[in-house]
Amino acid sequence: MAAVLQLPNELSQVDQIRMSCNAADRFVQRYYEALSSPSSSVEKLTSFYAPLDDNTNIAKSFFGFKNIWYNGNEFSSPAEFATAVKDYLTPARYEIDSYDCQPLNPDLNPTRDVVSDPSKGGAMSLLLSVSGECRIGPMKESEPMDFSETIILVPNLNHDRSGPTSHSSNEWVISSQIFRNV
Amino acid sequence: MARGAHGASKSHHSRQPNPHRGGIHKRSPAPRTEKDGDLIMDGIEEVAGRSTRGGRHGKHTPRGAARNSNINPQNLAKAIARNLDNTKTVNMRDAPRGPQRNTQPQNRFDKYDQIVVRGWKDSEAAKSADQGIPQLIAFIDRKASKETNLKLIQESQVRGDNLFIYTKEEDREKILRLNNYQFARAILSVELKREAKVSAIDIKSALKSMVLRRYNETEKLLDLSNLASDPDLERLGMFANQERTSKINAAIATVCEGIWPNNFRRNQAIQSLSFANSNLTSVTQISYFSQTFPKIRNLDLSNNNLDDLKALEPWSRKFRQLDQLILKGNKIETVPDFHLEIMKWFPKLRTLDAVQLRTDDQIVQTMNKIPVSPPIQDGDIDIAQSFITQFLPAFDQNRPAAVATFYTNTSVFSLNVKSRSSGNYDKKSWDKWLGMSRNLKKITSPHGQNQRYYTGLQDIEKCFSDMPTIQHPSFTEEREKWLMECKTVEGLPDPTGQAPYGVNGLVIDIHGEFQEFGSNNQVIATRSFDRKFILGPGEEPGSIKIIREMLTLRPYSGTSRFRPTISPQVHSEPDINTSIPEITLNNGIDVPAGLVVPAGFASPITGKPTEQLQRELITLELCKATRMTLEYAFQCLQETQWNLENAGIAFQTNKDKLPPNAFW
Repeated sequence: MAAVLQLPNELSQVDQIRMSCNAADRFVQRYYEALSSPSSSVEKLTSFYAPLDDNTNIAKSFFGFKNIWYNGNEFSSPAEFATAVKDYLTPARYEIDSYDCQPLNPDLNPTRDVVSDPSKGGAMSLLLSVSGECRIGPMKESEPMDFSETIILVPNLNHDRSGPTSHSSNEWVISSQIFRNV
Repeated sequence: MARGAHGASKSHHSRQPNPHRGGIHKRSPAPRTEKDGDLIMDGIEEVAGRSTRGGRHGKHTPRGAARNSNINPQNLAKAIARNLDNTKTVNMRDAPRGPQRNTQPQNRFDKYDQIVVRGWKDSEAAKSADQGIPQLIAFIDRKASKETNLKLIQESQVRGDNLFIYTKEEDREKILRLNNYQFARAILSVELKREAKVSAIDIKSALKSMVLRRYNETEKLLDLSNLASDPDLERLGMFANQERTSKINAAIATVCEGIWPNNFRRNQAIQSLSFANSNLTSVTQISYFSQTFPKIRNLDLSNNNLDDLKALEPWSRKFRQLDQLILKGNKIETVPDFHLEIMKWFPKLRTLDAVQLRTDDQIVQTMNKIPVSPPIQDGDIDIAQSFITQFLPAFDQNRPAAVATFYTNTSVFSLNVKSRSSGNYDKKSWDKWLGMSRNLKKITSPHGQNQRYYTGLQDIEKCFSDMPTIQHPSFTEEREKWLMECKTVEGLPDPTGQAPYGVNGLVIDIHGEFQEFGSNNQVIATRSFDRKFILGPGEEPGSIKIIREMLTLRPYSGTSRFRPTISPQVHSEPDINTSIPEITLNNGIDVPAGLVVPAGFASPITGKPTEQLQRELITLELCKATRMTLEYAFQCLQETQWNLENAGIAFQTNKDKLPPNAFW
């Protein structure tokens, strides 16, 4: 930790790291559980994604959805992908072997016009890498396949960070995702 | 306040005197702002049991939820179903009540008569914020009962200039006597309103008889085409505007749910729906049917005003079983390649306007999986290519130099080891890597997480020096061992601190393999890896640096999982057909025997970028016209910028030079 960083907001690097790791823990657990559950609705799956890019507000657009690439196929909206998950990727079982997470931009909103208090991580984007094994289709007919994905998480603007930790909504949501079976 | 959802104000009497109003009882003060005042349409909403305002269908009113309104749709459904079973004519008034009868009157129209009061808008009291309604009701109660505290009015409701009041039958005459009474300088008109009493019931039975008349049991078809000129509906004066169309359709959907009261029965009874000739400008006007009949196989939307894909888009994720769609007679058919988009929306769609889009095999194919497609490279691909080709050899040969060249003092690097692969644990020792592995599944202490987070030149160089020696295959010469995807990423921290919203960069994902050397310079393992870079501008103008990097190491798994296999190896003598065919719906995905294409090729599959699909279709056309293999056709088209005509000319010019294996 020799390097000295100029941090543009109130979070120290140690805070950023701790926060990003906690965010990754929660996200990975919830997201792959939802993908593995046949009863997850399209709405439930969509809730893991940022809302469609709001290009009327520059600052807000950084908190918006960009795209999903799944084995070289582009999905341009969370609902489109969630529908495909229900159509093609259900039933499925995901087992996570390894994941790692780094703060990407500690302050997406230095002008404070979208997030007023960044000290709770509400303006930080994250880079998340997840590796594991998935089986698509009924257990007996499916073979395990490794996957690797690269996810950029942004704060969920609809999540209330000021209150006690809530389990009802996701703190961080996917802005960009690249999935590959490997 | 169930009616709050559609903006009407309905007052429920309170028996408690309200001191603020000088003995006037508390009533809902919210005046209805729009002058709809349409009893029939209100009845429709009651039948529908759904709010249809604002186009946000089904979002606010839970379907079938018990409402404090006159008709409980669920009870209605049960009643109709029971009558259906007995094949009797339905008379709602005679419909048997279920045992779960509410304490609320099931149908207030049975119990109360509705009286409409007009003229009060001209009163002095009507100028106040509450339109003087509380005073008016108190006035009517007082004058009709001739007592100060007796309440005759059970409920009231304002619609436009009308105040509807509901009262017990025995009190009706007392209130009607107030006709022509003066209230706050206005003359009141007080009349019995019989239309209201019958409206909801009439609509229900009209809709039900219409639905049954239009239902073809043999064909399993519900033909709701041309509703505007339906005699039953015309009589009721419907379809005056588009908002009504939505309401009526919602009501019809609800009536259908009553006739066929569960998903199973509906799926059994109806496989086809027709909304032909319905003046539809968007399917939002009939959106409820996608909830009521989610599993229909045939849908006829012909001869409407669906002008573009947007008009149909709300159903792009509905009707997952749709087999046949008819759109003729809509301008949407003039949208270029509209059918490709529609095929993507409906994965089982076989025919569009009687033209076959997919064969049975293709449906099986598309239904089984999302294909493995070639890498997507978006953003500045040249930067990504040149970065990878420079970085990897540098990393293999001289790590300190690589660090100095590609990283900065704010760069972050971490790696993680995934020792299991496809259900098997790799035997090859990971000891040399595990000390650095920041697999957050295992490294759960903040100390460990910080220690394995390498930031800045010194940290990263130290980490790199602890890694074993490795050697990557050449990215340019052994490209088949690699997969690279890249995309633009916005909102990176600006190293110069000048851009308030951050700067743009590039995400690069590479998947590949390397050989690991032991202490004696012998190869001890071949491993697979996934390496994710975020590149962005460095501090010096024009420089590009690694901002973030994550490396995942895992047991060797080869390239088969991510490679889209194209292996056209069938040889035959060329039979050259030089005509340039037109691409039509019909032959677009018709692959001739002998030509080998990968699964899903030239098929509109969910998630396949439209440009890629178009290229695949053109490639297929060239293959068919020239009998060139997919690979040669692809190359030829690439060289002619995907212009089919130029590709045909290029083929004619060069065909004699092509090797035999260029043909199928």
